[in-house]
Amino acid sequence: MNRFGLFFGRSYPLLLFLLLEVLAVNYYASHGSLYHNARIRLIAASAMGGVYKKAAEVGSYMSLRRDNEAMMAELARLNNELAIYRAMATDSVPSLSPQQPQQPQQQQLPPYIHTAARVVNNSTGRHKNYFTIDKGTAAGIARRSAVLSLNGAVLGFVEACSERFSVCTSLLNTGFRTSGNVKGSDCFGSIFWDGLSSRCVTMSEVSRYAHVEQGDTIITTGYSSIFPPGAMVGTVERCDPSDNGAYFNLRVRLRADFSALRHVLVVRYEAAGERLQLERSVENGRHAQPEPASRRTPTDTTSNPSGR
Amino acid sequence: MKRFFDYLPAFAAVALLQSLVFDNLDLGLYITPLVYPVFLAALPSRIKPWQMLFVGLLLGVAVDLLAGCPGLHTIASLFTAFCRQGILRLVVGYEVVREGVIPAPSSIGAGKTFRFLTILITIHCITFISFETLTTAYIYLTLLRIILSSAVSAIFAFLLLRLIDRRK
Repeated sequence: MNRFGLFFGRSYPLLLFLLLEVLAVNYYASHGSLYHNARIRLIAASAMGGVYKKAAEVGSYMSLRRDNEAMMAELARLNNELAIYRAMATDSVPSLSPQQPQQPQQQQLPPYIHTAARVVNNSTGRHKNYFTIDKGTAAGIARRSAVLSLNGAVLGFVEACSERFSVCTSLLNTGFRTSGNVKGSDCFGSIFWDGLSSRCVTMSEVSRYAHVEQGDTIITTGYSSIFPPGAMVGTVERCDPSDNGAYFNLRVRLRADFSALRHVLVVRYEAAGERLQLERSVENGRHAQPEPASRRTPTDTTSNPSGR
Repeated sequence: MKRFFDYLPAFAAVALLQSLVFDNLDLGLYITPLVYPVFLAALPSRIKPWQMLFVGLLLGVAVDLLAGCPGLHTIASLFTAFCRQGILRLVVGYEVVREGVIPAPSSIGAGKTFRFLTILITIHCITFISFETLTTAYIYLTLLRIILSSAVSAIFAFLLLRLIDRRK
């Protein structure tokens, strides 16, 4: 109140002048000639139009964040829907025996659940880089979920989650490993970061018989229980033979710009737990033939999740 | 209140002079002599802002009524009254204005008085002629009119102020 009084005390001549001037112009417009009336109304209308336009611009600028979040949510929803259609297209291979009746189409859940998130912390200057996102278990994020950029490029995976935040291992982490292949061919290799440049990674152990050219696209394979198949990693920049000459080592220029991470998509593979459990049980030699689901008791599915 | 009545004859004289004499002078198509802002110029420097605006409003309304003009002089004289203190500070300095001075050749010198009047009347003419034309279609002719009207009005206003100053 005191500040308002101070402001009014300082600027009352201007306010009084504006008030009197507006009254005078209004009187001039309403009692002057038709020409002056029309001109003043026109100038006032265009001035007010300009003010409204600026106000609308400011308003839309202020709501940019909200719009952005709405678009991110919509993008995640569309990606989920797309994952369902992709799964349906893969599953709808025609049966070899035409007499066999088709099973009725069931309500399908997407194999990959997409969730939009915002990056709140990021590092690129270390050997072990991580970034933090603003979504956690409360938003359905789980450990070992893939993190992709909005244009579908691989960024890393979720390392740890709290209720509202998740820390993700960046692709720019020397401990990161995943498999990738050259798009359009069957040759694959192991992708890792050598810690040299934040713009490039290495794809090693690519068969020396593979036909790889500069500019070829590197994507993720379906071998990973984290990353969805076909997510882009980058493009081949250089192709060098390995030390013993048995393989190629590819220098891959990353698609994602890690220095400008803002919004990401977290992709959770729904069947990852089941798959890992099965793979581990086989590795440990303790895999037993599963019984039909109807004979199982509820404790069979919940207890002993590791399959041991 | 006493001082208000002191200035009343000068106020009436300036308004009548403008409407009866200068509005009827035929100096050509591009010259509109506007001398009544001399009254605003000749007020004491320590006048309060609201008083200045009030006097500007009264002067504009009076000239409008006498000239049969619907508010054009009021618009211009209000703006002139608003700018007056700033122009005076610019010409004679902040200290002189704060100490209190009546802008006239005898108090601040002929040169400064003429400069002050010229700026004040030019601002008045720009406002008046801009609101009269309300278009940029003939901008060069409007500018010519502003320059000629300002020059002639400033000369007349200076002569008038000098006359009043000598009579004091």
